[in-house]
Amino acid sequence: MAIVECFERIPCDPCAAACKQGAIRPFADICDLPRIDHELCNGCALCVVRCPGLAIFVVDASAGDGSAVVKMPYEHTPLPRAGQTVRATDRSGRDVCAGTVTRAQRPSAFDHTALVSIRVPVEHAMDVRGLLLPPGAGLGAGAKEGAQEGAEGGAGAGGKADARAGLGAGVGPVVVCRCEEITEDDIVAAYEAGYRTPEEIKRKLRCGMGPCQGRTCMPVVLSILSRLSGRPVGDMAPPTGRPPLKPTPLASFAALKYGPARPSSVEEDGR
Amino acid sequence: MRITEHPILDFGNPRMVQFTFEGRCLEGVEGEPIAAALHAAGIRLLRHSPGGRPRGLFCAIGNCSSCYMVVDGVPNVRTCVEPLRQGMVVCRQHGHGDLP
Amino acid sequence: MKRSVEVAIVGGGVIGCSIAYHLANLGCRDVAVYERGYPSCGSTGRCGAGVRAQWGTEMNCRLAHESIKRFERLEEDLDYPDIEFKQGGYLILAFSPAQLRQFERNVALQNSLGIPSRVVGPDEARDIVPHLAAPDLVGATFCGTDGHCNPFKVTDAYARAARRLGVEINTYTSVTGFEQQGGRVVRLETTAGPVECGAVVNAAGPFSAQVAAMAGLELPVFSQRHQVVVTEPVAPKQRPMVISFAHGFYCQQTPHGSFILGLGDPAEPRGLDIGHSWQFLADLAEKVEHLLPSLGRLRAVRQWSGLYNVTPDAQPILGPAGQPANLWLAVGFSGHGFMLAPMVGLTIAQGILGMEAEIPIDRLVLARFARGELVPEPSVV
Repeated sequence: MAIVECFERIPCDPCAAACKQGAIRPFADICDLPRIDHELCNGCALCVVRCPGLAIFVVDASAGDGSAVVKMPYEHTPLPRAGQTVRATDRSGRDVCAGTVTRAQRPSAFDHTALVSIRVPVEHAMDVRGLLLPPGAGLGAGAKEGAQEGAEGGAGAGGKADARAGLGAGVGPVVVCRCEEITEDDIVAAYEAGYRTPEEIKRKLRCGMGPCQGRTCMPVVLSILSRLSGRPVGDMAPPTGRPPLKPTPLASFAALKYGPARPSSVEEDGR
Repeated sequence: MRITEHPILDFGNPRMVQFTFEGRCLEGVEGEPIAAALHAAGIRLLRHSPGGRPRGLFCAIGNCSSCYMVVDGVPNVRTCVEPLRQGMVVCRQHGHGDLP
Repeated sequence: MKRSVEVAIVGGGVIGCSIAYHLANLGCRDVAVYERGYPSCGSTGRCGAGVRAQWGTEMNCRLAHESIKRFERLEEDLDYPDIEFKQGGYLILAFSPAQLRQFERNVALQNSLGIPSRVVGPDEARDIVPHLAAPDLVGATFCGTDGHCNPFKVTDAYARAARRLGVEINTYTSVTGFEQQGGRVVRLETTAGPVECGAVVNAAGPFSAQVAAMAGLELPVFSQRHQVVVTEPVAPKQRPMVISFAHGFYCQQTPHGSFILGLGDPAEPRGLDIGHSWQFLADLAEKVEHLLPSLGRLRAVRQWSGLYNVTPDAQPILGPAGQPANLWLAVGFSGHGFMLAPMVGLTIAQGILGMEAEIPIDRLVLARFARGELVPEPSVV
């Protein structure tokens, strides 16, 4: 039978349209969570391959031999082969048990989502929601080769940092604003010198004044200020975002020329 | 390394073009981001920041400044979104670019 | 927060902080500043930050020239690391013979006061700024000691120095009213409670009229938006600030490498709007194409705006208000307050303390409007 693991009310309903048995009722409100009528569901798994969130599975325990088949959507390469032994994993990707692929199909009607069926012990049927191919069988091997052959200069430091003590604990200066090369130490020093708000940190250090206009650094700056001040991030206003959305050559604005009407954003009161 | 088989995307028959990087002749798919062509050729270091730090791809969606390179003499080109064309001259940018 | 001060300064921009510092430096430390945001969050922090001595009236020339000398040693005087003062000069463009003649008169006045400006022809202008196009240029003036700074850092320098001398700088604190007795302001109402005061300074920038109204005083000023854009940084390319009064255009490259460009709009309505428009960007693109076309390839990363506080003769209102008797004014700078901040701070402080002003600013008093004695300044953006 089909098991729906869709938990958020979002505007999405392709599963209802996919089911040919009418087992998923049409939604009254597009944000409703889907409900399966298990009397009508025949486990065909069309909904499984239609769900954009890969949140529907079919569990078939009808064999009665202590095993169950879990049918899951699969969007990796290469496709598993029938008979292959795989590791069955849970919703967090943790290893649960061994599984055997009974079927793996990706017809064009499934629109690039494959349906893979694996047999696992029945006691794991409600935990198993994914699979891992054996090492060397898939793209993982190819990725390793690439990393060895090509990394010409500058692989990231990637040291593990103790988040409680500070981003850079044990790793050296941590760059927070990459555009302007401002480190965590710079921000802490500025805070201790009395620059307490995101605006003042920006004005004093230039965090958020580079081409990315704070997209990369501001959330980190806010979290550092929160850690230093004890104030929740939600209490601190980041600097105002302003146009243009992306760095744009000055000359290209000539195309905005238009006549007497002067539309403009209005931020009143001089703030 | 270049991905040729993908579960969702269909790459069709890509047209390969030639470009130069720091004087070396390289090949890439016409229209792919310049940084992707460099990445496929094993080149990950795209520039040095004004502070001398090595920089490569970061956001890879045209939002930051990590992948800036000098392309056909123009500095600050966001190579993660700029499409590759035949004959492009691509150089690492060191610090701030020179406006021509 | 103190419940009584000798001098209360309304407004913590560069003017308010400069006045506060100079008061304390001259020995009056019972001073408090009331700033509704953080210092320089208003017009100061949004300005083009140009600093020039090339003015057309003696008083402006002297105030600006002396201010520049103070900018030159501000880091040392205020013990502040870096105000990003780039003295690359100002190249002021002329596009008509009449304009050039006015500039020649201005230069003669400036030279007589020790300001090292000179008139240059179009060819020399293009030597000074090689990427200058402007085919209809008839001439220009250049003064190598002009330049630009970082407005936040200058304000911060004054505020921190003032604090060290005992001044109380109150941020995120708005003044909401004045209580008067016997023709004097005796108490401020603020969002942090009341404060008794000896004297009050209105340094409220674009809100000068609103603050004056709290004292029952009407000021002949209006506020008006001016828009600015900043680009990504590039290697150093332009030494001087380039400015054209004819086009209302200015353009400078900061020490960091970004270009800051501004453009006035003759049709800009009066008011407190600090939004932004596409029209500004389109007009700016046109001016850049005409004057400095190679900058057209520079990418803008941010546009913003700030407010001028404008008087009928485009000169500030400085000195005692007259009524209330203990209200002082340092407002109406009409777009050139930042560059005069050092000397305005000093002379207003001197006035409040009954000392002789280093440069007499009596002509800029509020009463000049009632007397019909405007002080027209020919050299404004």
